[in-house]
Amino acid sequence: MNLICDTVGDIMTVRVVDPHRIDAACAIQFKDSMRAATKYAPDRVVLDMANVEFVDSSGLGAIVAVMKQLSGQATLELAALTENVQKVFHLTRMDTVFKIHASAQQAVAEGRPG
Amino acid sequence: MPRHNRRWPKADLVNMCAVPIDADGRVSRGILLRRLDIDATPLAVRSAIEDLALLIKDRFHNPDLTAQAELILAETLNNIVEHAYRGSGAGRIKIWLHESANHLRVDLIDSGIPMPGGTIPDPAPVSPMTDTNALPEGGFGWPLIHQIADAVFYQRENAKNCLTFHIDTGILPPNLAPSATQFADVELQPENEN
Repeated sequence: MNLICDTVGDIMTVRVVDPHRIDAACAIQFKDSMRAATKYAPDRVVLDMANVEFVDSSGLGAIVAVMKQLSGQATLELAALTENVQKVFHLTRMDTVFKIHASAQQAVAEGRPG
Repeated sequence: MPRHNRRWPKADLVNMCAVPIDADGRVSRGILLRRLDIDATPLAVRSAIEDLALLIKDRFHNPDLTAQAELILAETLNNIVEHAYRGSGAGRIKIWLHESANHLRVDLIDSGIPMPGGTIPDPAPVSPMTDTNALPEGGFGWPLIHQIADAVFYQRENAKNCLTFHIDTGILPPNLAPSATQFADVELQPENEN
């Protein structure tokens, strides 16, 4: 699991570089890596999923788990969902649970005053 | 009746588990596109899904169909790994992919424990309205399967789970549900245990 974190102000962007799937084979690893990466995260964590081509129910459950792990410390937001990943969030109605941005840049820009 | 509760006639259920193939790869289920026999592990499942998705992508040039097939394959195969084989990593899964008149047909056979109650689970979808901290981290799989598949069938036969699903390809005008006569030429063949 290769995650790149970038913190600017009160926003941490976590980009999933590799693998291009969050599925049953890596769901636990994803949760563990995210826990380590966001240990000192500020108020907002934006998960940049531009490279993620496939998410199954296990991957979705892992993303929900990360959101719950962060609860009280930071909010988890999502960005740059690819078409197929967007569909999974829509079918499960989890797109109503997460704040979803078109891109990580937009998510960051949104937090900037003025 | 919900489409996932449609039942095959009994004779077809028996034959479904045999999936015999003749010399030119054609059976009464349509054209055999792929037959796989994999370990019941998450990594083997991932490889199988990628293989089948690539095949479907190259054959149909339909991103939606490929995505639907990829997701339902993941959900059904992961269920077998996690529940039928209880995540032990021991056991095999046999996969057949057929193209029929207007749909893809996938048959999955495993030797794990039966489905609870001997039927296809049909849990209520996870409600997004609940408190965030109360959101479940699982339980998304079967609702997804029911939403995506155009038909799902399950039968326990000879200590094996036989799960079949269809995904409409929309390539030919809709065909009627398979009739028993389509299966009349298929003989039940005992599974060879390794």
